[in-house]
Amino acid sequence: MNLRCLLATLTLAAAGLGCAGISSAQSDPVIFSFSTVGDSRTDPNKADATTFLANPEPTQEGGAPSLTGTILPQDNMWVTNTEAYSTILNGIKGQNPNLLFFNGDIIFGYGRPILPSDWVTANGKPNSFTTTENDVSPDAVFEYIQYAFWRGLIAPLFLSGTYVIPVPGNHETQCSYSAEPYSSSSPNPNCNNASGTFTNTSWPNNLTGKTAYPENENMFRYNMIDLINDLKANIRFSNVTGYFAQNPNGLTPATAPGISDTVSGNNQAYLTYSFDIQAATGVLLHFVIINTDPSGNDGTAPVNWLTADFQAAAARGVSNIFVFGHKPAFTYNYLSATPGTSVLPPTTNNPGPGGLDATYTTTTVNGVPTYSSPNRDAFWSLIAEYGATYFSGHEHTVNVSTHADPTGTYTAITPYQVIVGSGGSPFDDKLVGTCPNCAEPNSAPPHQYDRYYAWATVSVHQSGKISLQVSGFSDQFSPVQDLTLYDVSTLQTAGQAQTAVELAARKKKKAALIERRANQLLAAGDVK
Amino acid sequence: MNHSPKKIQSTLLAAVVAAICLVPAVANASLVLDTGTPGSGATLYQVSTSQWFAAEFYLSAGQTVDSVAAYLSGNAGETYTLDIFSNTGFTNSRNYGQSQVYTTSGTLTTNNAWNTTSTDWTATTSGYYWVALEEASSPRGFSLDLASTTNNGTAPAAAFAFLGANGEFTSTGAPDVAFQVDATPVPLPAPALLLGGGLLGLIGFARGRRAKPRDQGACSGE
Repeated sequence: MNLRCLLATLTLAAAGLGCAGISSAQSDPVIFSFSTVGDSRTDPNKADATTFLANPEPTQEGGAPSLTGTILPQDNMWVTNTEAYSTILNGIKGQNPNLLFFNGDIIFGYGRPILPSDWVTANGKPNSFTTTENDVSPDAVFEYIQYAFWRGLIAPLFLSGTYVIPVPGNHETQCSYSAEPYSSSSPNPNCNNASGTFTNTSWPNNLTGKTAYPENENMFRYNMIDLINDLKANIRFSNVTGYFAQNPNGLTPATAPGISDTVSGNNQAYLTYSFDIQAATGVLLHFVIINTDPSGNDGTAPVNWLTADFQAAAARGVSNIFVFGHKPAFTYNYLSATPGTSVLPPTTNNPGPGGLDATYTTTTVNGVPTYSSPNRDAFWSLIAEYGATYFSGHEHTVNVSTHADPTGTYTAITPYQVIVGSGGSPFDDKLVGTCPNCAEPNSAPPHQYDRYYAWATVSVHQSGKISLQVSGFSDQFSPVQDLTLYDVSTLQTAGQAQTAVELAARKKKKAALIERRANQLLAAGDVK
Repeated sequence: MNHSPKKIQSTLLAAVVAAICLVPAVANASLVLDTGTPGSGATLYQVSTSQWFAAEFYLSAGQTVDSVAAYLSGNAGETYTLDIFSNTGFTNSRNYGQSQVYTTSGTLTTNNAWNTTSTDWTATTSGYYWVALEEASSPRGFSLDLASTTNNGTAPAAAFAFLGANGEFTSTGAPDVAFQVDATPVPLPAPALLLGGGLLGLIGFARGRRAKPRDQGACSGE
């Protein structure tokens, strides 16, 4: 090899190494991740026709989709869209996140699971020695089996390294007087009806006949307490996730939201709670779970408790705050693809299909009504102040959007709201017409994924960057794809928001000092 | 070492002819499957332990598959499995594993690009085959996406299939995804080699006849 060839070879080798170096620097490995989805329950009376099955010819394989078929008997019994939810769990398993937050509507529920007092003191454990069959509400039995079915579905995730964190939804905490197997003509005698004209309780009524009760909240605790308690007990949390949960909050009545956030004063232990994970040096993640339908204060976020929780988290130096609740703060108007239709409040109210904004007050000035949602506004102002990201369910669709602080106080950050109530519940954006002559609704962009079963996965990279990926498949059960429309390459951080808050506070302080000094000078007569 | 000019000429001639004989083989190494390079708006399908993808292509007996490429997105270092299946019993069967004729592993080196894996497998019978991209495990922090395409490349797939929840590769609802398979042609048969040898001999003979007078002239000049 002559000198020129040698030099050329060395140059190429150096360039190659340089490229390798750049490539290496560009890769930013994921050190921690979590997925989130909600609403896997179905509705035996209103299941989406795309989930119906039939076997028209016995010689063929069964399970052929048919718009005129029937709901899978298994799903009718345990009230879950098993195929959609299991496919989602498979996809999540494939991504192998450390955590899965399930954003509520775990069960169809909607009953009033009243239990004998000695069951209550035993954390819901049955006792046939001291009680008879007449002491136990049929609704309790129905809800126990649904919880158990859901727990069985998620059990394999723990073996592959994903720990599941439950979030209460309105189907867990509320009773609906007319929901299946009841009806308006044969209502549930243990919860209020739509007009509030009866029942066996003096609990406050509401417009839609859906009311949160302490018995329902207890049922959530009885069926989920082991998962939540493990944030403190650590029987398996660290073994599954590879990380320790730190600073758990809200696991006792004294530390959970109480009288300041619920009219009833019912404590929200195990329904609203939080914890930290130190993903890497300088990357302290704060996770907050909230009950958006607490008994005595349906359709609200625990703003007072959150204020204290966020302050404490900020004092610990958290880099990111992720909040998980069932109801979105801002109702997603999936009907907007069709002009003249809307699901935005006041079209919907709360309790009902709307988000926290559907808990509104009406003020009429000169005959013109205006609507405001003070609790939602205060909640989102907190989210903006601390640069948090909010994940929810409730609306049976997928949507990622940004919303500015409605109070206009914290403008440095426009936080993300991620709705993933797309875990199998009947799609809110319904098929048009009567099946089998039904059709897909208007799916013009950006509504092409409104009828997709979907979940979101957040990845924490070594650099501290946080990215969001949304995955899903169509109502025709197409292969799982990346819904890139909703992907976010870099989520906001608590630091960004707090820096902005500090700067604003510093600016305000400086302005006040200048004003005070000017006033002093004026008073002294030094300024003419 | 001394070489006569004639000997050098003969050696060079043989080398040239040999090169000419070899050139067609190299030039004919071609894509037997090319579903086309995905556009910017391509759909990204997730490859996971429960979702694999496959594309169908044709091979003649004796053709060797030199490499397989897939258009992938994900983190560098993600590994995956590439399989070749015969067409018999591959789709709509939970026993598709019996159709496997070749397997190798690949590693994602470049995000959002063709990632090529060298292979070395020769088809013994002519027919349709499937190339499949699989993922056997799910390491934390990795994700692997296969891009969709319009199947308008230089050698479109005969069909596509995906492994879904029911544990079978099915073509129903399978997306068109980006694969390339590169294969060398069938080696030249013995008669062709004999023909080549004969041609070589004829050329040598002709050169020998033409060279003689020049040699004589050169000698006479001495």
